[in-house]
Amino acid sequence: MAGKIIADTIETGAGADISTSYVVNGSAKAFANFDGNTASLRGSFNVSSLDDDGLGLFGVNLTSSMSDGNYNLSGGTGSGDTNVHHIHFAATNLSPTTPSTSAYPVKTANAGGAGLLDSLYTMSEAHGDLA
Amino acid sequence: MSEIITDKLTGKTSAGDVTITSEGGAVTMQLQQGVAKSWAKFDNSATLADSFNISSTVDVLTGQWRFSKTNSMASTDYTVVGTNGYTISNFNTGHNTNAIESSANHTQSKFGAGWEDLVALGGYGMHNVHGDLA
Repeated sequence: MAGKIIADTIETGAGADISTSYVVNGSAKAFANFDGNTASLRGSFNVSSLDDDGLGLFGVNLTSSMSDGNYNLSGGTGSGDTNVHHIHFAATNLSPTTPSTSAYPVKTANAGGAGLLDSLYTMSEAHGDLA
Repeated sequence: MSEIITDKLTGKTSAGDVTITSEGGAVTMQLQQGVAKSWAKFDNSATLADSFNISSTVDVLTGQWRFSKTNSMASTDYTVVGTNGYTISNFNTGHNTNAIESSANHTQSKFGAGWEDLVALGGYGMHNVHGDLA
């Protein structure tokens, strides 16, 4: 049987202590690195599947749900070409349109406003409270 | 209130797997997976203001910086996210993806199709990395 420790604070031998709330709250609850062209995950954590909802439109489905939809998402893209791509986490043409407890939308678009594009590298991370 | 004083956490069943309970108490997750494996705040000359798990930096070309890791990632399939502030046009967030290595990653700053530096005074870039360490 694995051991279990219940503690409020972790302290290093050097005397630097940190509340375990920082460890729990500061840990990413999910991340995903995928190829937008093929909608295939390269690396991920707490991601059950990836939806390809059309050009530049994706849904990242979570294995363990968040406690609500008010979690933080950050991301970056690598276009693989000379264009700059932007990444967004809400879109009226996606389902869900905004982050939900069990999934979040990803939209990648040309930064010049020329419309949706698939990004060779599409990366996102979620921080917040798990259910 | 309880307190653990230690320099190292190691999983009992599996050394690389320490489980933590979620805020809501409904699920557990692997501590190692959620912890950022490196991060950096840097200026246009790739001088680090602060960082974690970064051994050296290179100001590669205009709007392009390289960050070598002290401890390498297990593969190149990790995430790099971040942003840049105070570029010349005050617009961009690009991340190099054509040159991700297990031991290093790049970040970029672009405006349109061209590279763009951070402004010399007060410009900064930030990024962090999640994924598996080697």
